[in-house]
Amino acid sequence: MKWSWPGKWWTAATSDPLEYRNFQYPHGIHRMPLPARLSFAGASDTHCIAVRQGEAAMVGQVLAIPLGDHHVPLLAPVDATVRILTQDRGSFRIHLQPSTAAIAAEAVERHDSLTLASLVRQVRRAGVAGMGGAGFATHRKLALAAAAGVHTLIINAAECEPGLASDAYLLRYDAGRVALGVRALRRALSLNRVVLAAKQAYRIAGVECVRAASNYPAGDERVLVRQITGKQPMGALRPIDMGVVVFNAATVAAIGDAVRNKPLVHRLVSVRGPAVRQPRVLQVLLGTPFEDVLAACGTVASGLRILEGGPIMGRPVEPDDGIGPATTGVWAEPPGGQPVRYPCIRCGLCVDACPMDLHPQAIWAASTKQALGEATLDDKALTLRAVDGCTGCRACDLVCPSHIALASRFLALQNSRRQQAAARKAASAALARFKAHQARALSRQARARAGVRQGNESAADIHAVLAAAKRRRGRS
Amino acid sequence: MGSIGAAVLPALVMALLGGVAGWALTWLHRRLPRDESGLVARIDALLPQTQCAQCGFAGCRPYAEAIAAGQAAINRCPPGGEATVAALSQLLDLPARPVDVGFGVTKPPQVAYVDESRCIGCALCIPACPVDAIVGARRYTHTVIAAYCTGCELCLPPCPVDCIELRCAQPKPGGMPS
Repeated sequence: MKWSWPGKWWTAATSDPLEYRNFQYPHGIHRMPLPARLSFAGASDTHCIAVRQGEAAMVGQVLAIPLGDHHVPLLAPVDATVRILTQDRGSFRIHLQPSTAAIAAEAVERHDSLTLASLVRQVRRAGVAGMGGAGFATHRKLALAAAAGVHTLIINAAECEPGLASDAYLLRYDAGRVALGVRALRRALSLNRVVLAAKQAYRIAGVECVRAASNYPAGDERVLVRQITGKQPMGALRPIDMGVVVFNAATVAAIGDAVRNKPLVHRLVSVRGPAVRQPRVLQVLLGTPFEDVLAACGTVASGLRILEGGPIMGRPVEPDDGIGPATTGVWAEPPGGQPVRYPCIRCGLCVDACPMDLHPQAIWAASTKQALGEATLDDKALTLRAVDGCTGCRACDLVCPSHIALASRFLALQNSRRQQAAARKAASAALARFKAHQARALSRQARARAGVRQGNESAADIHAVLAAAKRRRGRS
Repeated sequence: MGSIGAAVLPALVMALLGGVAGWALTWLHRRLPRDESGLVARIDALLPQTQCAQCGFAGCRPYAEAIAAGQAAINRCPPGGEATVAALSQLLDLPARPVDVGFGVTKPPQVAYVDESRCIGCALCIPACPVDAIVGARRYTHTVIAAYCTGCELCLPPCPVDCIELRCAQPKPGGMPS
């Protein structure tokens, strides 16, 4: 790796998120007490509500049915009463009040569901979505990976946002669930290589263990794929196109649970940040509000900036939002002002920082209008094309002495390029159909000119076809 | 005689050569595929290929030819909207202007929809669709393949019972994040 982090005098003045890299967490997985209420949010174009106000929902009962195959169902994580059900334009929110009884007994164990189709079905029914932060529907990824014929599974436990330890705790205290998931995946996808990428060395039977780098963004899917296979997935080429599928360690554990008919109801969450009194790795029920999670770590949520995930890629959330399957951690910090942005001085720090070997400052320059004078159109287009390789990890933002928000611009560019490509593809398909349409119209005209009408061919033509058919029948 | 022969023979030979070359070029022009890297093709590639003829030309290719010949402005394509004008202005180094509303207004992506309770199965709309997006036969209800429809509105005028309407295109579900 040619880039290093941070230890450079010019970044010393800025706040360094890695200052909080080594939180001292207490040993063991702390189970959170049952919260007073659970909160689930969804959108009405992806889900259809399946419960009524005041209904008593059982553990694993479907709260909202996904529309189409791209989403997973929302499940009740405990026996609870549906308390509030609000619905406004395009979105809804379900509040559950858990019953005082403990979490329901273990579901029925069943190990027969190891073919691909039944694994996909079980995983979908269990509500499993990518637990490394993206939240992509796991059953979709399984189906796509199987269709692409993957041969290698990378279990991503190289959580790289500062202070994350959820995957490390999972492997240390609950590796059996991961091993079950590995067994199901190996059988269903007929894998011939399973690699665990983590920050420490672990030993799981039949699994190769690779130490991931300790710096950010070592846990990025594409960075890991390059480290392990030596090949770089660039642009539109996805890891599954290279025969590699990457699942987060917690997702693999959830797949292991799904095989045993256990729905995804809780996950490990690392709670930390400058404002958190007692940083902890907690086992949290899905839907638990962020303020309850912070309260369990001795922190009052009001007035804090709360991020889901970590300080680098984290998504700001409200205190009463609920934990989702993709919430790897909670980061809380006192609110700070926006840094002052300055123009690019072409220092090149971002070039060193980029894990995908891109040239962020050149892409930034090409994306601004002034760049036209300096380069030809083709040069500019060529530079801009590189933006497809950006993973949005924000490593460039963090080293930029001018505090330019490079990554968000790159992601927007990527999105618009993707839309343009889709429009171009649609246009060329429309053109092909138009050409066929024209050719048909021309041949119709020619036939009309020759006096042949559809369904009114001359008797000689019909006799010729009949004679040919009779000859064929006589031969066979 | 000699001087006349010396003048006429080369002229005849040259005329014959010219005729042969001209015939050969015409034949080649008809038989060989068109040069797709030319300016017309590059302009055509930027147009949305709806073949809607709102620009006043018979389709996207004729409009591209007119632009290349300098006979048409680049802001006559309402389906393409600002994005197409921007792309054309970049390609041709012409100033970008807003789409000329005289040729139509840019609408969000739309697809045609056949109201099956009113369709009488006349099949008049089927040849009108430039991209073969309408399926049906005479005395059978027609339907529109939404994925093929470009929303060009050319099927609206031929319908005798006005059973076709344009609806907002459904956004396609997201693919796998990369």
